[in-house]
Amino acid sequence: MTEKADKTRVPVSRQDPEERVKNFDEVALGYSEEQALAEAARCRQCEKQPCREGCPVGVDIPGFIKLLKEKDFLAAAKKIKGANNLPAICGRVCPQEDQCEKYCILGKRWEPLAIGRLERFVADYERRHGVEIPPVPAPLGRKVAVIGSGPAGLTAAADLAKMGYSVTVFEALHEPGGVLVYGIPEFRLPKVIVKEEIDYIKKLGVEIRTDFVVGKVKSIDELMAGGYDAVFVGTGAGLPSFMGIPGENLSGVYSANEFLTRTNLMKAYKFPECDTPVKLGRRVAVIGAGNVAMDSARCALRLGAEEVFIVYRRSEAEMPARKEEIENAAEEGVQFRLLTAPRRIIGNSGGWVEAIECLKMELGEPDESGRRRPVPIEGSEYVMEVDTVIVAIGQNPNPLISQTTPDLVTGKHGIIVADPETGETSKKGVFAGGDIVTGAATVISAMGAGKRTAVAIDKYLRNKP
Amino acid sequence: MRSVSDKFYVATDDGSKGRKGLVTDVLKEILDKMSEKINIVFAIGPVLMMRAVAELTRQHEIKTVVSLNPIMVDGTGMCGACRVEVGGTTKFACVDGPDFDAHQVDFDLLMKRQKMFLQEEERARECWHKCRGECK
Repeated sequence: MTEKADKTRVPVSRQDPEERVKNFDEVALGYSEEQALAEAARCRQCEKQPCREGCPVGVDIPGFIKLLKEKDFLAAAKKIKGANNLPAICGRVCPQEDQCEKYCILGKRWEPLAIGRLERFVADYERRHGVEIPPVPAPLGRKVAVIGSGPAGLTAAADLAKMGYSVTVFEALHEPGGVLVYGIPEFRLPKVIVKEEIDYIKKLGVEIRTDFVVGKVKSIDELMAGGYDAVFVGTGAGLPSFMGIPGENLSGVYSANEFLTRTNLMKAYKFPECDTPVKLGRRVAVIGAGNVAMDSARCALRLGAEEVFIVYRRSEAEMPARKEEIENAAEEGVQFRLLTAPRRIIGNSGGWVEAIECLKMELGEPDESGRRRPVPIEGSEYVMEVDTVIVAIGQNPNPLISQTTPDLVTGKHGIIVADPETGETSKKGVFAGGDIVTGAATVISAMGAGKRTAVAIDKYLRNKP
Repeated sequence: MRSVSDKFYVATDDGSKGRKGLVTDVLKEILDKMSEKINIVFAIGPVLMMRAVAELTRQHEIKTVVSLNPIMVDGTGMCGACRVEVGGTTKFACVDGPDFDAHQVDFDLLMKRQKMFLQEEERARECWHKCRGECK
């Protein structure tokens, strides 16, 4: 191996920005077999295995890469699936740069190993060559209800099914997947992949009941009275936050959740063949700079907006989105209006958005989040003409479960209070994990919580007469 | 409704059933007579009707509850499309309602927001008449 090859990772081919901005197809195309082998060759198989510490679900990373190097791709997939039920999803949307790759020893001097891309390669290889369903143990005769079919719920359900429990997942929407289907766009995570990974979980024996809103159709108490021995709540951070500035209820102002749900889950870009429309103007302002904001901005471009702006009150360094997604957005033509805070949204006589009034900011001392606090520059107000505003400043937990389960203790913003290790809540037999406990975080951290809680539920049920 | 009512009144726009006229015509007569005290009024239906009922009962200071029907996408709290203003604060009709104090509701805003997709609704209707959903 040449020294240069050792220093830099094998680049992954991506759709050309000018082309991809006109379609919803996947942007990153993934490694070929040759590329995957060349990248895997960079792995030192070091003794300390620091990468494993960075994985919230504890994938045996050196183990799967060793098998990949030996070209035993199906065995590599099996190795990953020992810990991770959704590898094709994680290979695409995990922030590996903050997890496994952050700890890779190559990263001390050079570029870290591209673990995420290798995981994706292995998972995609298995998808094409037949997914093996592990033998499911004899049923234990115990029933577990899982509420929500997002990353936390699916992971808990799969792990519990593998232990022999009868698991039913209750999903409010008509399709399972939670944020994986309504939130993350097709061009970052194709829905066929989500469907295939969910099919795998169904084949483990998990039953998924869609169009079932727990808290409306039935309460947790009713589920437990109906024969469920334990309940896992993984309902996520589904309630969009707004800024509380004047004009936020004008027509043309969407929460990112609404805009993305219309676009991704309901396929509004196919309207009227699909029933749900989305109305988008020519100039779109997206408020916020997290991954959801980048997804919204990039969807808006694909839906035909002429100009799309990310409006963010802090500077580039504080943007919470993955660097890769910020670069993708910039390449596609998203414009960044940083150190800019919206003060009010201005409407016309018909109640439609016409413009936003913004204020320029400068950075002051760090605040409680550790990021430098944005401070308004007096007299710097100016008006930006836009006809659509998408508010992507975060989500709060959905209140339906806590409203209908009085003995479930909740905390700040309505999160469910649960032990971070076991997921135990204040209510006996009820466990919770993912964004409903932590507030909005990542797919993989929710999966980690689902995994830990499955172990705790198993322990609880084994001790329960 | 008749089976659970002490008194039951029907009004239709064209007079095909009950009396010809608006719900508020009947309500106004009842309230004007006030032969017995009315404690609470519930109004469920088109926004224009609910607003008219609210205006009428406001004069008589009778507590009134309306069931709001803004545009919703998921109806479970996830999208915030169903934002309504009640007593000057924004509420999500799906999880905070849909029943609210009629005298606190901003009906103007509700009507404007309900019109947000009028053109698309028209297009969908045309599309349906053309192919009866076969394009799906």
